[in-house]
Amino acid sequence: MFTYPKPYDVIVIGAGHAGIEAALAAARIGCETLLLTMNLDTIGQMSCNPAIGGLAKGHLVREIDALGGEMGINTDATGIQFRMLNASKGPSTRAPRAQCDKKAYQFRMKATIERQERLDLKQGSIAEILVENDRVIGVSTNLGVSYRGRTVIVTTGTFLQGLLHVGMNSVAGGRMGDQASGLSASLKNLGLDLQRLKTGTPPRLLKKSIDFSQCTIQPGDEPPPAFSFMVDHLKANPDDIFTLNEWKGGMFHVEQLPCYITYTSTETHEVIKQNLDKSPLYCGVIQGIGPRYCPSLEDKVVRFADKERHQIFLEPEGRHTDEYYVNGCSTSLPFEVQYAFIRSIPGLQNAEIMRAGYAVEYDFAPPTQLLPSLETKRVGGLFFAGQINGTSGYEEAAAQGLIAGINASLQVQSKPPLILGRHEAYIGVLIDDLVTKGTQEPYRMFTSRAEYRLLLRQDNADLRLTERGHEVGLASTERLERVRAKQASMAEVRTILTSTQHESGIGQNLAQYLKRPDYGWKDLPPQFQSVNPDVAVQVETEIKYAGYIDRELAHIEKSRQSEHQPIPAWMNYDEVKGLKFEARTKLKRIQPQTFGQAARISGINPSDIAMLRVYAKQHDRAEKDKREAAARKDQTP
Amino acid sequence: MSATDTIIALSTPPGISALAVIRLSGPDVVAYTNTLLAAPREWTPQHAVFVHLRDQGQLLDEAVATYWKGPHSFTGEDTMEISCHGNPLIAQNILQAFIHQGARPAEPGEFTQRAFLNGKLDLTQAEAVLDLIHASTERALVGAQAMKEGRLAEKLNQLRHQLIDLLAHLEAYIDFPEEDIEPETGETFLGRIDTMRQEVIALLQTAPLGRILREGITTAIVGAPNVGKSSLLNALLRESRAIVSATPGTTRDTIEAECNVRGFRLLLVDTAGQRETHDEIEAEGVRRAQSVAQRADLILHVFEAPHALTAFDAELQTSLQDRLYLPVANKVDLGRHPDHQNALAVSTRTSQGLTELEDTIEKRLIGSQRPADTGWLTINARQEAALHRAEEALGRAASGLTGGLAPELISIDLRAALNEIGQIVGLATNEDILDQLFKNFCIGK
Repeated sequence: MFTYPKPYDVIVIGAGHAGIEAALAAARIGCETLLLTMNLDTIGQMSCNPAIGGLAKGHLVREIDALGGEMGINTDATGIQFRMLNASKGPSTRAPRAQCDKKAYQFRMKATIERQERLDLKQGSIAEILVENDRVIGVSTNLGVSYRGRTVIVTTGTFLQGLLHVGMNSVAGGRMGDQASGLSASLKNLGLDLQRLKTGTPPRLLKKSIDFSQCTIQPGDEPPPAFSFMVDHLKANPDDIFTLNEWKGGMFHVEQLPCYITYTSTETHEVIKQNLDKSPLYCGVIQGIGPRYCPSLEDKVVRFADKERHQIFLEPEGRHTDEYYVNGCSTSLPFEVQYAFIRSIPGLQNAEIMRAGYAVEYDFAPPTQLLPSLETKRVGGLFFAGQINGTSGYEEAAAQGLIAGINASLQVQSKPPLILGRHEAYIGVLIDDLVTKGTQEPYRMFTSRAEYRLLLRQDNADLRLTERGHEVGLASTERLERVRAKQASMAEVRTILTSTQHESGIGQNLAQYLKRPDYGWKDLPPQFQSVNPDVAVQVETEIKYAGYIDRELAHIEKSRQSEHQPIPAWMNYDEVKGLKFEARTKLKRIQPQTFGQAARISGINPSDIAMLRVYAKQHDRAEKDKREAAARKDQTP
Repeated sequence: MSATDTIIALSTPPGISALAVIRLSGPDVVAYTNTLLAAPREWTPQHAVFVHLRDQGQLLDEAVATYWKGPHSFTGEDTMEISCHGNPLIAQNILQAFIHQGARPAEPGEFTQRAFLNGKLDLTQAEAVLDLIHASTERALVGAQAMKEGRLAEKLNQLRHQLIDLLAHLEAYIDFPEEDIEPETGETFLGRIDTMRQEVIALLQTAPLGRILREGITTAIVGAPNVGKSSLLNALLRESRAIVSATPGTTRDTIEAECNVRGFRLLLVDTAGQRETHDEIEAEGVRRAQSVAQRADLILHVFEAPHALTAFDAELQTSLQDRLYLPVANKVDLGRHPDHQNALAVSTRTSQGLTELEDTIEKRLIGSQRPADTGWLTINARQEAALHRAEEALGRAASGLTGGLAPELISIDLRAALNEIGQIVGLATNEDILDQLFKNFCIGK
């Protein structure tokens, strides 16, 4: 075994969306960082659809950006279509979404990593996590190289024991064309529990074989809504061919490509029904649990038999490629069946399949084995992020990667971890859900998972998080100053609104007027129309929804006390009398950090929490008595 | 952990007794009690004090109040114990007055729970407490079920389910704008909220019935002097099964007697025993009769059948029209004036018409209290408070929807309603909403 001479503070295994953020964050915070990937040519690959954002996911990207992550700006640089979803609905449900140039996204990201100070990028397949005394010390590769690291972040995606299915053909692999990772054995040896999940992807089609005239065109928004709060820094350097978009003349410039919409036909459904016996999903070949929100087309046809047609989006995978992603057609049916059903869809009668759709089964480590910092409870310094934690989606992965990268770095610096609350960020909701409740299916973020949705808007991610990002040494000072300036001008505009009477002369100021449902910013006098739209939307939302926002704030205040009350480390659940068996088992398994977290575990009742509190208090009292008795004894001559 | 709100409950069993004890616990016990006094006072812990409790100037009762300062109290918090006269009506009025100040009706076992949370009970006691908390919750449910084979729980579970389904539609509308799905919005959605709200209102309307079934029906017999109010009271006692002869001779309105009329417990309020003068016929008399009637659930208005309706009776009748009110024309054996065609004709001397009177009381009690579609379901005070808040939340959701409020705000109100109903039949989680969402809609790009 060759021990690599350079020791690292942080080693990241896997260079997908989680690994990228973890490695960049660690290096930017100041840690010597190593990023290891099985294949240097597939960094930041979009294995499924070539899109970033959407409801809740777009929120996550804005939060990643506000904390100083990379996903937002990389999407802005390489996007080929931008839209703001739910633009006509409420303020907290709007979310940006972008189609990306898949290759540009990857290669720009690779260059960013390569040029990052303190970050080394290397190819290598990890065979083992090296651990001494329940503390990680490094990793070893299958080429017999060992790297020493004070912390290790595992972001292996779907690669752990990955098994790919097309019909009855199944091959080992993390993604079609890429080999699987054998790291599972090492993780099991460390005492970690692994289980199986499943996900899938649709076929890709060749552009020139598609008849777009039979489809509905879906263009991007103009002007294109960007993800990054720093999009105005976006410039293509002369040697940078992957930055497709630029900020010029006070505007975000994107040459946008459209998507197209078509629908399955009754024939499609017939083909699928007749071939269900060839589906690995329906023959019991696939054991892993798939996501309900992203079913295969065969699942949709069976479960929603009375639905006459299913919507299909045709999404370009890039400007310099002619592959089209067939969104809505995830499948693991045999190639010949995919060929038949694709050709039963209007516009796709002559479509050529370039890559077949497939299902992938993979190992994940139930995330209740993690602390809220994403460090494993079992091995000190070992962090998990991304799909290994049972999540789905690039954005969910990137969010966890960022937090794991930050927390590994903070641990190296002997600082407490960054733990975002459910009231602070979707990232907080995501991680709390994972480590507290675990997941039965690949976990995807929805806005409905957030209790304080109105506060967690995509438009105020910077106001919520940039300061936190700056504190840990990630978000730049420029970013922070920008947020401070925004806060100052919000305060100023608010003051003017409350001190300016409405012209109606009924003694109401403009802020009171803004509360009216039929009165918006555009109805304000002309001098307000020049207010920066980012500031205006904050002020308007805060005023208009003050009643609801106050209720959410009151709720947060109410739960704060128990939320922050830690469960003492000496808590022995076996000694707490009166706990139900189920509660005892779950508490022992999940080992919640605070009473608030314990209360959110499914199956734990308020009475169980009360038992814990009494036990803790009793214990404290007994300890105190003991100490006092000892003190008295000492004083006795 | 100290609680932030102040809870209140009747600590003695409901019903008539010499004394009733009301207990409050929480940070505001002194403030709330002081607002019910003519003037705020200083409270010395563990000293019993004689007080006049008033609600907006009107005397509620003379009572004895004892203040316990936390942590030296049963719950470990500031506590006030109020001993009042054992009339359910008085106790109810005092409870209401405190609730009006901001006190919250205690959940079953909540005083014990607070004692437990504040470390006032040891570990073995704590185990017993757990049982107690569970037992009382179960009992609350069983009590509701007993009313009609579990139909209250069934009804509330239906509402819970409907709310989860509504939220599934709303959340699908919010979270999946790109999907080819058609979640309900607009008119249909509003219609469903309104229907649910009507159902909650119907349940709320059973609260008085629940109360009178548990605590009896306070029945006032009013009328001019010498029309036979006492005779009617005695006749009712004679005809029906008298339960208890009450203790006479106290200085305030007391329950003269209890009787069982067709399964309803009538608590007959003694107004007949008041000293009557000819002044009674005057305005002052009407006012007094009204004041007695105001605190009653059922009013029997007695006058003489042979004579025309007097101005006094006419005025009384008009002022009581919107109450549960029965006009009783007594002495019908001596004749019946045409004015009294619509009154119940009885004769306490011959017992004529008494069966019909009981029939009518039964019919009116059932008819007045029971909304047709909820049957014999009734709710208790805790359920009433929760449903009341649920109804308010549904109201906000409905008006928000009409006013074009953003969907995530409607969701906040619907979730609040779900949470309130969950307080009675079990909390719903986000996962319940998502389960329903994926059942309803084919999601998946």
